[in-house]
Amino acid sequence: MSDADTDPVDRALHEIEASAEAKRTSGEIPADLEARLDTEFRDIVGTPPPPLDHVARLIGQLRDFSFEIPEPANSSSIPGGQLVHRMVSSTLRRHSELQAAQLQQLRDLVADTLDALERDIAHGLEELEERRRRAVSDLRAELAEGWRAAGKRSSAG
Amino acid sequence: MRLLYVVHRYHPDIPGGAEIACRLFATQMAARGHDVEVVTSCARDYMTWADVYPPGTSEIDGVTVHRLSIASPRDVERFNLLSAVVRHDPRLVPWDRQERWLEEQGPFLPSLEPWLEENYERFDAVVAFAYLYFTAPTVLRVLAGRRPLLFHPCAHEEWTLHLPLYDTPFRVADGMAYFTPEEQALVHGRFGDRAHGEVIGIGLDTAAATRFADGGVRFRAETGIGERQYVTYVGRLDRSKGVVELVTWFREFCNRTGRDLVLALLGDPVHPIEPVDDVVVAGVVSEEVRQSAVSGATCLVHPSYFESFSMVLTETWALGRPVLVQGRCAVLAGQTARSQGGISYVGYAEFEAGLERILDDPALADEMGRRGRAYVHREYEWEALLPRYEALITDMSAVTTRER
Repeated sequence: MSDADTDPVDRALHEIEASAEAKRTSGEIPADLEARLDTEFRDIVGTPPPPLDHVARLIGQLRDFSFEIPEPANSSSIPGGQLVHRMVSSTLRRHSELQAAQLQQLRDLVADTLDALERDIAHGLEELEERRRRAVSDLRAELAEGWRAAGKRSSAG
Repeated sequence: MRLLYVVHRYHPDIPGGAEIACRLFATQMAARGHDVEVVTSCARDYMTWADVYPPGTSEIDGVTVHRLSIASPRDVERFNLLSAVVRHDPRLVPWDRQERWLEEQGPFLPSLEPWLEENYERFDAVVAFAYLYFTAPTVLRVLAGRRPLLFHPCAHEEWTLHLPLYDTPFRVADGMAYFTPEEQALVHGRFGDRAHGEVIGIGLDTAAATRFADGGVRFRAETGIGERQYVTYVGRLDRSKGVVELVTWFREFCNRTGRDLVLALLGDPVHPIEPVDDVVVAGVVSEEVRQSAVSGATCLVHPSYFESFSMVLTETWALGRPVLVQGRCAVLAGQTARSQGGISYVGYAEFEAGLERILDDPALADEMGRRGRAYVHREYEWEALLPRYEALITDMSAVTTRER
């Protein structure tokens, strides 16, 4: 038997948590209401977006980009022209679809490449930042020690 | 021991948390027979730091207080502009601009350094309060290695804590007195664990803190609430304290649940809150009315995002009432979890579920209040806390003296 089963306060805290979750999942408290009520918190505490956020957004747009192939017009005022137009446009359409498929492959390849680059750059930035932070921290610790030592000397002198 | 406390403002009329904490520690240590002096500004208002109290030496509750004049009142507009520049990425701000920012942060006391040089040898240890203001970094820089230095950082997560300017002050202190384990973890994460430190908290005179408890009789009469059930907030009525969010959420709660409930707001109205039928803005009230209000409330709600310790919580628990607190503030959530004196919420769903439960289950509310009171008696009575505090200063001083 856990504490939550026996202790009235623990039990109540678990029940409150479950009640809040039920209000969310049942839609009694819709997600957009909570999001609206969180505006003040976001305004005051809000954190800046990650440094490569705009790059990730552009890559997302690239992935969503689709190539539209317009249907060629087949109408003709010349007798038999419509048949000729239909044959030509069918050939043209097959050709365009092939090109579009290649462009889509190229789009995916470019997006994959940019994704990989973005990950590497982000990782590199994090590593650089961590190394910089450690180096600065060590330097400041030394500086602080030096400062205290200087204080001791001046106090003793 | 001969102790010097250094703080940005010092007077019984000043409501700030760090200032009250400093005054309480200084007064309590003086009452225990230590020879306690304070060096501070002449300011009452933390926005301008204008000289209000006369410069020179006076005595407050057994503590000798030395007041120094500021160079000039703060130009708030200029400070806000400079803060906007510094805030953009605190780690990249040139050093001279950070120093200028600290002077503008204030209170800029040009005579503090000469005063310390002239007087520091009279003291066995020096205690600095509140990292944010000009006074604490200055005393830590000037007296590092020359006298044992105890630092109460009064820190919480905020952009200023990441200014490189503060790296040295935090690291030259010989001892650290934290208010909560959450503050200790925050400081260790940011600056490492290099000084002798301990979680001390802030003590409470529970007899004085409950002297005027009357179950809300006086408060109900003075505000015209009558017999209606109410919850209360005590503190600065300021956006950064989460008060605007609280009012919005409270109105949403009343609309959604149809409950007849009043939110009573007590404190300095920095941000204008329009009183409506369900929201009573009592403003700044006397100690008598405050204790009456809290003792008669169904619970106290604390919506603040930034705290290093909440005295309002310990005072509420001393009065035997439960709390409903902002769970996004690690300190409030931590204090509440350790005491079992209330409920934390992280979103509106938890707020609604928690408040409904407190309103519907008076036995649970009373039990939480009882546990909170027991926690305060155990951890925060001055008699329990001061021996730990004295030991921290003594141990820190012994280590520092040995090193010297």
